[in-house]
Amino acid sequence: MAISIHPIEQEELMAYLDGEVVAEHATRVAKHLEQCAECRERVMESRAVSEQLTAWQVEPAPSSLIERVTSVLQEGEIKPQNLPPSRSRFPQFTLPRWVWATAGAVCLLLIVAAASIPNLYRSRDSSNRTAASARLMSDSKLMTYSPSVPGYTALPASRSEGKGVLGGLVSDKAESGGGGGGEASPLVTGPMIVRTASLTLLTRDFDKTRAALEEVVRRHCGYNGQLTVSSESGSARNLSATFRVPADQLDAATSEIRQLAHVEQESQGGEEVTEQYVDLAARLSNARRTEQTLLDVLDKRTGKLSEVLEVEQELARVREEIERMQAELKGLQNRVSFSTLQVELHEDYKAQIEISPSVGRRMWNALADGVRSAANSLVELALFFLNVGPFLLLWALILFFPARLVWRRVRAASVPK
Amino acid sequence: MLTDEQLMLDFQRGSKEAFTELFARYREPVYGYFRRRLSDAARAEELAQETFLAVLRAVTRYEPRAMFRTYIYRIALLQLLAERRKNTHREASLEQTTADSVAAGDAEGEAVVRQALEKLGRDEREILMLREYEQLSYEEIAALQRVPINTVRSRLFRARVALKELLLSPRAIRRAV
Repeated sequence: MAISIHPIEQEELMAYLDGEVVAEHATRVAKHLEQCAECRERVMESRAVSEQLTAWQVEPAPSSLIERVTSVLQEGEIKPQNLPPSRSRFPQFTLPRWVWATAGAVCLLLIVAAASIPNLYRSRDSSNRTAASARLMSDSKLMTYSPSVPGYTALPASRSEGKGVLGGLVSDKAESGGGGGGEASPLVTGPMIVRTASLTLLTRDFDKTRAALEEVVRRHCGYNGQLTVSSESGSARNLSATFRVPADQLDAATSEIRQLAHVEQESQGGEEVTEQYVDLAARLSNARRTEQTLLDVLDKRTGKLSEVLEVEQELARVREEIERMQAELKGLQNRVSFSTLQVELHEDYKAQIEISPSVGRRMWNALADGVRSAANSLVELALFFLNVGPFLLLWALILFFPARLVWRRVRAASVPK
Repeated sequence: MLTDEQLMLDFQRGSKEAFTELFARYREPVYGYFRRRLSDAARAEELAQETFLAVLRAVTRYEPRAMFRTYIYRIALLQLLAERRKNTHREASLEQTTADSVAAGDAEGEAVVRQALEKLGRDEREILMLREYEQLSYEEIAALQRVPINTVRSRLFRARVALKELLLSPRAIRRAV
């Protein structure tokens, strides 16, 4: 029986005919076909089979199919409940219609609220400023707004000392809510400015000025954010401190500190964060509503376990975002309520004459060192002999008799007979 | 010419013309798919209609992650499987379809082909038909049947070898003549 060996397998030949081999293989197969009559015959047979299969033709699609699908398309009468079995390879996450409706309503409300906030701000801005200046003139100590002024919210009494004019412009509902789901976002009723001041002072009496500085900060309800003092002997002492002072007390505190020492450098700055604050508050409110919507979805869940897990993951993400935004909001409020006051205090240092130790003492010290060195060297020597003594003794004993013998012979040879 | 996927995305954006074009492209192939696998022509028409309606309903959720051709044939396959489950007691064989079908071409040659196909194993026959009649690529068949591409290739090869024996053997030729 003759066995022919083909470099191309029949299955590959079939794939070639179907156009399912890569280009380089196709070239190889085509070359082989040119040479191999047997394979050409197989190709012919395969083509004949395919051609024969075309004998089974199907009549054209009935016109009723075209009419029905077209009418559905034109009339838009598509109902999701008649979906085919949901074993599609494209699994989708679906929510009930009412969830979408609620979400849509919430979005609409948020858009309306977002549009109205700038108007509210504009209408109240001028009156805020008037009220602020009036209060500042009448009361330099306690500068929070009265609750009777429309649009402003009074701070709790325990906090009012720490809150200034600008801090008071922000009602603190977010903080009092403590992360609950339904609290309103904080109301912004005036510009929010983060103020900073920096002073570099030079003083002759460092200790006294430092004490006075801390007293001024304490009197103005401030606190130490950070304080570093360097006091190397033989050089000037330096103090670097960052104080946090209520925003309304900043000017008064700065003014008093100026009196304490010679001012070498002074600078003040302000950064308006109203927009940032409003934006953050709106996003926070939005995130809370999303959280509520997701909770509702979980309560009334009807979907598959994988969908529920997906909702829970989304919920965890939203909650994390809410916590982050709350922290950011509090941080922003704190920065507005408490201004940062940086103080550098340098001592006006006068160098002092240092008296060197007496000659006698130095000589005595040298003698003491010498005696200690001599004693140490003796001890070291003793230790050395103790250490190597046994070793030397052993070898001396071993070598003594041969050495004596050699010595005698040498001496005997050298003596003339 | 726009691809099927582009047409589907256009339809998602509200273009009814895009769907009309898709329907024109797939009307005959999808009807033919059911018609060759079901004895009842009316039922084949209904299932073809259901397939297109399913595409219509799911349009908002469509994502062009796979080829549209695979997508629509997958829907058709699921419809067919559901239909077969319903009719297990009177499963439509290819022989049964002979009596109902309207011969569109060579009636005798058609009968030979159908008898030969009937003798193939179910999986091999399905893959062969998807390749020969629906003109799907190996990759598309693999995606549709959820089997590896090499399995598609080997089954198709076995089916063709068997079919060649059935169709080109002297007995078959005599019968055809």
